[in-house]
Amino acid sequence: MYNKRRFNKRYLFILVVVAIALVLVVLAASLKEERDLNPVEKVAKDTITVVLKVVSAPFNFVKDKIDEAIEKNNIYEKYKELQNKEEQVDSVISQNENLKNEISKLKDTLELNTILSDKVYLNATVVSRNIGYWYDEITIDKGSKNGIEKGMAVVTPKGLIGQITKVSNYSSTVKLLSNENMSDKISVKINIGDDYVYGLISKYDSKTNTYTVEGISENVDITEGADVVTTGMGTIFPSGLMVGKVKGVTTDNFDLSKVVEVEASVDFDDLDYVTVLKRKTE
Amino acid sequence: MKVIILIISFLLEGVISNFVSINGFMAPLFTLVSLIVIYPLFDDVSEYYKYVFVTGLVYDLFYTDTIIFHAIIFCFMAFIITRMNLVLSDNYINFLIIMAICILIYRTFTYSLLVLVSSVSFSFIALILSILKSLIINLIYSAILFFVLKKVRKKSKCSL
Repeated sequence: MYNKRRFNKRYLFILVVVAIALVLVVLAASLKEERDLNPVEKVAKDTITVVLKVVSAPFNFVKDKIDEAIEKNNIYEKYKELQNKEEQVDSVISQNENLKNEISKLKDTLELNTILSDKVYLNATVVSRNIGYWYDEITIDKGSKNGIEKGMAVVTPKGLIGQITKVSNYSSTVKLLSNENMSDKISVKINIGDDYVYGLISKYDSKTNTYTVEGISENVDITEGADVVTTGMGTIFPSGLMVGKVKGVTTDNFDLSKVVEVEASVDFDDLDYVTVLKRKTE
Repeated sequence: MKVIILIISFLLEGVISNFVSINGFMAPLFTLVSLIVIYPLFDDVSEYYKYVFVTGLVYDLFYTDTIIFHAIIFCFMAFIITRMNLVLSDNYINFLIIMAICILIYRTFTYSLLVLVSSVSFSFIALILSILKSLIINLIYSAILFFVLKKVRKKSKCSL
């Protein structure tokens, strides 16, 4: 009796140790960013995307109706605001056309096929958000059959939100910049008058919704409210994607370089529709 | 009945995630809650473990892309649920206690393992916040589920 109990305990202990080791190995392997989904996972992902879209349709309908009712309340103020903006639109459009022409002429002169800011757009709807809590991921309803590839940048009209990390046929996973692993080492430039200063995002703080940008020279004047955009350097993001606005400037511990707090232009809490960007390579 | 509760909770977790803010004060864990609710419906514990393993596997495949991580974690949670059900009787207050302990263990366990294998740095406040965020919405969901299940069981007993 005693021996049997001891054997059982030993057996249980070995089982627990093996299980923990297995969990650690599996988790480490599955979290690798370069991992591709296997065929079974791809089929499962596509299935749940379709199912979730169908199941959430009635919920979305009710939500849209409530949003509509709320928006109807302040429709007059919005109309006035838009009327003001509309007057400026024509001049901005003509300016934009002019710049486009200039760029294409310059490209011809320089015999450049692509520039860092060239990109292709793909719109997508968010199917599920941050399930599992720690991963800071969202799933969207477009996949490799729609032309999405791993590593593409994902934006909302307000700015950059993340990057495609896993792709199946009809859905893909986006890792948000709010994740510690993601916001690391993104090259950005800060607008100072007619010129730019370059820096690297080192971390994101979810409480204040701010990024910390480091690696900026001490003798540069940076004003609060200056635009921060991606540089297009490296292979990840195209150039000119809005990241945020400067909130505060401090110096590092050794007074050698500036540390800039940048308020993210995107609200990571509420993402419904996103756009996937592909940098033109040829 | 068990399968229906599991499927509804599983799908609702995905759907509700679209209606609550990503880092806000509501973090649904409906699948885990449903695993606690359905435990008294099983006569055989090994059958319960089979259900839990399959649910975890589907959770991995459909939601988190983590191969069999959740399948093993859910089995571990099932072990805790069965142990606690031996000590605590089947009423709503005890059910809430089990749920709170399960959420606490689940969050602590997954976070510690993530810190061990990835480059996420450990933050005690983040962990406590995650537990608090999970408690509110799951408490509401568990209350609904518990009373619906109670009503259904009563009705089926009456019809017998």
